[in-house]
Amino acid sequence: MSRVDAALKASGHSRYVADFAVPNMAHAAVVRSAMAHARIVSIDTRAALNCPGVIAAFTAADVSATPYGRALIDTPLLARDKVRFVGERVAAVVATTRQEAEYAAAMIEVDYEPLDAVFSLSEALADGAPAVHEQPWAYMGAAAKEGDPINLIHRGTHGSKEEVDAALANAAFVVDHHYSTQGVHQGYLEPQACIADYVSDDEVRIWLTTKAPYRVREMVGKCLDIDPKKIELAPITLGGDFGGKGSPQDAPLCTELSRKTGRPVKMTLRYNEDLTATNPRHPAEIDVRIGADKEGRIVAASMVASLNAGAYGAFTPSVPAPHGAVEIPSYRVPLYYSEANRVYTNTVPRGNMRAPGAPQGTFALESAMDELALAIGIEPAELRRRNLLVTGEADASHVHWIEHRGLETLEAALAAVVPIDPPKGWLYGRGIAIYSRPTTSMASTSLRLTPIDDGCLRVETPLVETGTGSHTALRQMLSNQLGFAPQKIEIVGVSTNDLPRDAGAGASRVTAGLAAVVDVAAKAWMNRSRDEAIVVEINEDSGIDVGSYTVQVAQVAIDPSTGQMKLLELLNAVDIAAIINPLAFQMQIDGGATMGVGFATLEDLDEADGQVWAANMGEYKLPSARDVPTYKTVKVPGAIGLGTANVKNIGESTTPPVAAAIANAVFDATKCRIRDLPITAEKIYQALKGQQ
Amino acid sequence: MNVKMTLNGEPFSAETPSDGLLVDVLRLNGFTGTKEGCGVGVCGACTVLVSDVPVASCIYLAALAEGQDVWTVEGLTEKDSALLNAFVEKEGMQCGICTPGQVVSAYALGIENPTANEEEIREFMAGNLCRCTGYVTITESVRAYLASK
Repeated sequence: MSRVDAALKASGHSRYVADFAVPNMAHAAVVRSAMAHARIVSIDTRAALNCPGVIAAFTAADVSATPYGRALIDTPLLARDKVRFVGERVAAVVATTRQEAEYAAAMIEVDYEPLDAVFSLSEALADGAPAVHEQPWAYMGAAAKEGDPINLIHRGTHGSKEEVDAALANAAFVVDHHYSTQGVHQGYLEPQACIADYVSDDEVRIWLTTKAPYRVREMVGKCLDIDPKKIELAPITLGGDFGGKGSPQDAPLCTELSRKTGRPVKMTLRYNEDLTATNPRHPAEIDVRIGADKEGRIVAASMVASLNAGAYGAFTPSVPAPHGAVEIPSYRVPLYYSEANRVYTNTVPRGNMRAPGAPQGTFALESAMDELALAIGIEPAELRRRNLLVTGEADASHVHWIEHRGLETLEAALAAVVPIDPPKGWLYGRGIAIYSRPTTSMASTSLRLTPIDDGCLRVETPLVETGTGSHTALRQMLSNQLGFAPQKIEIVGVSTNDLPRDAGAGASRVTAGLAAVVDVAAKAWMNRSRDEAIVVEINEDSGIDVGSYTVQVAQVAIDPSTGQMKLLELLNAVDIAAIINPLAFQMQIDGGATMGVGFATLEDLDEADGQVWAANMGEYKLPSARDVPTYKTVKVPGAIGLGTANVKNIGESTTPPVAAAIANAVFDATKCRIRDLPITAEKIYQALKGQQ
Repeated sequence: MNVKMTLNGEPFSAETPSDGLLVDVLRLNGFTGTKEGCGVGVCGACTVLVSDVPVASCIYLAALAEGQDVWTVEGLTEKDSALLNAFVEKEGMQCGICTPGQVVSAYALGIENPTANEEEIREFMAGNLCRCTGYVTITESVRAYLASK
C-alpha cells in the first residue's frame, strides 16, 4: 500500500502553511539590513504608514526586548541599536495584503553608520577584531567567557593535543592538510511561512513551517513571556526541512505583531529571504592530521575545525561531545584530539542541515585518509580495511556501539562495483568514502489510538510529516503489531494541545522513536477496556548505541581539456536492519546522496563581503533530474536495530561521504587533489594546468 | 483589471492588478495546489499548463492568460486518473511541495513526447526541482504515466 499522503499530495489538495488563511488575517513583511555591520542611526516609518492598506509599522523599540534562541539566547525580534548581517530584520510592516505590506516595507528609510565588519574566520579571530556582539558571554546560554576571543561562541575540545602531537612526531607516516567547505542552504522548496493568532495570554495559535512544534512553543513563550502551554502549534504538512525548519523562524515576531495589532498575522518569505536570511549550513575550515605506523595502522589523529556561525548562534545547540565536523566515527584511533570552534561573523546566521557538521568533517577526514594511503603506498580501500573498527572496540570518543559492520559493508561495496567506461578521451577515476552514524536512541513522542466504526483505528500523532514518510511508517508498524490492515488505520496529525509531547523530527531518530512508542501502544492496546481511546507517551533512552555504516564508491569521468567532471555512478552500500517502507527508505538513500552531490559539485551561496550573492535559485543551483548520477544501492542486511520493529537510521547517512568520494575519484583520475568545495570544472582545470 | 480564461475546463474570471502574476490569481482564488517555491521561474513548483504549454506561473503575468485554456494540478489529476495513479503507485514524492509541478510537467510531456525515453524524461523534467527524492521515483512515475497512454 502506498503512502498515506500520496493522493492528496499528487492532486494538489495537501495544504501547507502558505495555503492557509484565517479570518481577519493581516500580512507582515520585514525590512532587512543592507549593511553587514552598522549602527542604526534612525528609522523613518512615516512614508510606510501612509501607504495603502498599512495597519502598523514596528521597530525594535516597539516589540519585546527579550531575545530568543535554542541553547544560546542571542537573537532579537528586530535589530536593536545595530545590525549584524545583510538580511537581518530591522523593521516590520503589517498591512491588509501581502503586496501592500511588501510595498510599504520598501518605503521605510533606515539610516546606518557603518562599522568595521568581520566575514572570515581569520578576520573574526584576529587580535583586536571588531566585536559582532559586545558582550557575547552575557547572553543566556552562552558558553563563551569574558576574556575569550571576542567572537568565539564555543570551543569544544576532546582528548589531549600534547599526546597526539607527540605520537604524530614519532609516526612512520603523517599527513597534515587543510580543507575548506562553502556555505550551502537546506534548499527545501517551501519558503518559511507563519501565521500567528494571539487572542490573549491564554490563547495563542500558530501555524508554522516547523518540524519541532513543542520546541517552538517553548521558545516563543520565553521570548514573549507567555506560558508555552497556552501556545498551540497547529498540525501542518511540511514542504521539506533538512534541518532548516527546526528553528522558531518568524514565529516569535509574528506572534508579537499579532499581539500588537490584535489580528492574526501571516508572513511568508520570498525565497531570496530563505537563501540570504535564514540558517544555512556552516562553512568550515578543517585541519586534519593523521599518523600511521609502518603497517598502515593509525596511531593518532587530530581534527581541528572552525565553523563560521554567522551573526547569531541561536539555532544550533552547543554539543558537549565532539562536533560532527571533527568526529572520527569509523576508525580505530588510539589517540584522538578534536577541537571545534564556532565563531561569530557579520554573515547570515547558521543552523542545522542534514547531519550537522558531518558533511564538512567527512569531506576532510575521508580525503585525508586517501592522502595517507598515498603516503604509505597502499590502496585507499586497504588502508580503511586495516583501520575500521570491529565489534567490541570503542570508537575514538570512547563510545561502545553494539556492533561495527564497516568491514562487511566495505567489502560488499567493492564487490558490487562495475567499472563504467568514460567518454572517449576522458579520464576515469574511482573514489571511496566511509561514514558511520549513530541512531539517536532517545525516544520522545506520544500517540492517541481511538477505535472507530467498521473495525477501523484512528491514530493521532503530533509528529510532523516532513516528507520522509514517517506517518506511513507509523501506520505500517501499528499494522504489524496490532493486526489492523493498513487501510483500516487512519493517521491524523494533531496540535501541541492534543497530545503531551514530541521531540520533533531530526537526528535520524524518527522511525526508531515511532517504533518505541508503537511498542508501548501495542501493550496498552492489548490491556485496554473495550472500545476506549488510549493515549501513550514515551520519553526515554533505549540505552543502546546502534549505528549504521555507509560506504560510497564514486566513479567519475573528467574531460582533460576543460576540467568538466561527469559523475558516472554513485554506489551506496548501507548497513541495514529491518526496512519498514522500502521506497521511502530508498528515497532517503538517493535523496541524501543527491544533497551530497549538490554540496560536492554545484551548490554555493557564493558569499563575499558579507553578502550572499547566490540570492535566488537561478544562481543557487540545486541538482536537477539531469544532474544526478546513476545510483546503485547495495544493502548489507542483518544488523541489530532498535525496538520490536528492529529499525535504525538512514536519513542522514548518505549525504556526508559524497564530497570525499568524489574528491578521491577526481584524484584517482587526475592526480589533482581538490581540498576546497565545491569541486568545479574550473578548479579541476586549474589543477590540471598547474601539473604541466 | 479583470482577466478571463478557461480554468480546468470551466469559465473563470478574476480581478488582478495589471502586473499581477498568474500564481497569485490562482492561489488567491482557492487553487492552492499550485505552489510558489523560488519565485523566479527556476524550481518549477508553480508549473501550470497554458494552452498545452507548461509555464512557470510565478513569472507569468496573469493578463497573458486572457482567453487561454489553463489547467492546474487539481484539474489535470481529476481529468486524467492515470496521471494521479502513476505518482501514487510509484511514490513519486516525499514532502510533496514540488509534486504539483512535477505532475503538470508529466502531463505536458505526455502531450509533447509520449514515447520519451529515460534521458528525454530527465531532460524534460529538469525544470522541476525536487530536494527530497533524488528523482528516481519521480522519473519512474513519469515513465508509468507515459506507459499508460
